[in-house]
Parts: sequence; structure tokens; C-alpha cells
Amino acid sequence: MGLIENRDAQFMLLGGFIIAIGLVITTVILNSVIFEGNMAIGAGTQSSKTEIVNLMQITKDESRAAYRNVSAPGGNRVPMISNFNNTTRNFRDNLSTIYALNGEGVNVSWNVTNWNNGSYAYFTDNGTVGGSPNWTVIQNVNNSNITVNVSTGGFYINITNSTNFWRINFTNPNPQNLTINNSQINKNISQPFTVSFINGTNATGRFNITGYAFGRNFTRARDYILYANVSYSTSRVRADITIPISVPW
Amino acid sequence: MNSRNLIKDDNAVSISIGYILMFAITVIVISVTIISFYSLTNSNEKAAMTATFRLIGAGLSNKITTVDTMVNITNSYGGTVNSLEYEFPMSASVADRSYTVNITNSPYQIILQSDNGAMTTSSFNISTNFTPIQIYSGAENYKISYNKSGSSLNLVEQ
Repeated sequence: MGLIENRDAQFMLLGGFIIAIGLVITTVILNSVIFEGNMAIGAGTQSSKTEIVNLMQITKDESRAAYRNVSAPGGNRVPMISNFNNTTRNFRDNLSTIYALNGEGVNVSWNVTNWNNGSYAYFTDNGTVGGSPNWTVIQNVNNSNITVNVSTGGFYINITNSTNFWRINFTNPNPQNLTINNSQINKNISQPFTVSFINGTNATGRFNITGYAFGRNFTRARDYILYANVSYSTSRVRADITIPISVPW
Repeated sequence: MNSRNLIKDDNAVSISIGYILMFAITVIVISVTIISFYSLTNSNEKAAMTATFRLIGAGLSNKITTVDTMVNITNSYGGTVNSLEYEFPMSASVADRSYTVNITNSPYQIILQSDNGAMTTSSFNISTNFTPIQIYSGAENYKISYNKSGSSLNLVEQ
């Protein structure tokens, strides 16, 4: 009897086998696909730390630039603060627009209470009372002029080289406002030298140190500590951060 | 019956018995095939779950260290983190099985395990204190947040 004419269900059996094996293979393949999908989901991460760093740094830089642009020695404080607010408002609006185009929300606001009240910064490393009291302002200086206006309290400036040091005393009742030019420094200590603040938590005030170090001109100056509040939000991350900003540098 | 007779013997089982035998043999063959594939799939499932757990653990570790880095960067600027939240999804199941995530802080480890024995341990290193927690995969959405008053990181289900 030929295969075609055979009525003993060979084709049915053969079909059954083929379907059964096909089902098993499909199941195994589908299983693998599901695992790969899970792996892809697990691998997805979103990092916003670089954005936060950028935001803090750009806010700091722009705040200092705005302060330097609007402040003038002996100027009236109220119009200066008004100009500062206008400048930073412009920066804030542009920053929000730029970040919004990337689907991120950014808002920056400033607290200028210290400036408004004339409360100068501490002579610590970060200008706050909690900062390090003894710190190096700059090293390897060849020429420098140092102006310090102590508002309250007293502290020291150490000018040191590899063999010697000269201590300038700003402690009460000594003169609290001093300008030390390069020739005065050279009489007491040879170049290059390092400028350090000692007992910075004891006093508040302003300083301005200019000069030449590491082959180029430098400026280190501080009047006030302003505070910037940075809010950053994406679909995943929400951050609200307050950073102190020493101005003008 | 000798072998000569066996070859020439035309008497076999009836058509009905033949069908029954054929059916039984087919069922047995398919069953054996399926059982073989099932055990193979089962061992593959555990291996794949372990691999997926490793990925989930690494991803979670990355997220926790990211939040810790954000806090540290802000501190390095002398700033204060008023609030910080990082939301993220996590698969409710892996290979159709739920799992637990146990995060310890001494040492800092993320232990993922399922009831079929698949388990991985991922280590992470942060400077901010982390509140240990055991979570179950059903919630799907989670959040790492910074506690300003306690200066610590917490992971909560949403």
C-alpha cells in the first residue's frame, strides 16, 4: 500500500511530533527573550551627578562675575544689590530655559542677606564660621600686595618661605585695616613665599591679595558670603541644594 | 514459535490495539521530551536569574553611590543638601518569580535572592550612612532619598 493511500494516521502522528517539538523550541526561545528584556531593564541607569556639579560651578562662577561687575569700592550698596539681582535674574531665566530644552527643571535663587546687612565673611577657608581657621591662601608667590580690613575680632597672616616666616598681626588692639605692599614683604622675607591665614574663625572682614605666582598674575579676594539655592529636577532625580559663594572671588 | 514462523506471521495486534499502542508511545515520547527540556530550562532559568540579579545589584549599587556622590560633591562646595531624591524602577519579577533585596550597611552589600535558590551579593562603598532595609520586588518603583537631619540615605518603596 502506498504512503498516500495509507489510512493508519501516520501523518497525524508525524504532525503531532512536529507541533510538540515546535512548541518546546518556541518556549525555550521565548524564555530567553524574556530574560534579555529583564536584563535590559536592569541595565538602564540615569546619572545626574555631573549635572549637579555643573550647576553648582556655573552658579558660583556667574554669581561672582555678577558681583564683580556691579560692585565698586565705596559705592552705594542698595543699587549694587539691585543690579546684582537683575543680572542674576537674567542668568537664572536663561539657565532654566536651557535645561528645560533637555527635559530638566532648574531654578536658582540667591540669598544676599550678608551683603545687605554688611556682614563680612570670616577669614576661614570657605568664609563661614565652620570653615578651617588655618589655611593656605596661595603658594609660590613672587610679588604681592595684601589689603585686609578686619571688621570684628583678630587673626594673623603668616608669610613663609622655605626657611623663614613673617607673622602679620591683626589681633586687637593693633591696626585692623592694613595694606602690605610687596616691598614691605621683601624686607621681611625672601621670595617665593606662601600666604596663610591663621585663626580665621576669630575675625570677620574683607581681604584682597593680588600678585604674581606660578608664572601668572593672581587675585584672591573676599567680601561676603552669599548663598545660592539650586533646585534641580528630572523625571527621576529631584535635588534642592544650598551652596555658599564667596564674592568677589 | 520459531524465527521462520515469526517472519512469516501476518497476525499482529488489531487496528484498535495498534492505535492505542501508537498513542501511548507518542504520549510517552512527548512527555520524556518535555521533561528533558523542562529540567534544562530550569537550570537555565536559575543561571539567567543569577545573571539578572547581578545586573540589578550593580544598577542599584550604582544608584546608591550616585546619590552619595551628589551629597559629597555638595559638601565639598561647602553646601547643604536640603533634599535629594532619586526614583527608579526595578523589575517586579525575574523569570516570572518575585525576589527579595536585602541591603545591609555593615558591610555595605546588596543581596538579591529568589525562592529557587538564585542569589547574588553586590558590594558598594559610600561615605554617607545607609539605613539597612529588606524590600520585596512587587512594588516596582523605589526611591533613594537623603535624610538631612540624620545625614543618611534611605531606600523606600513608592
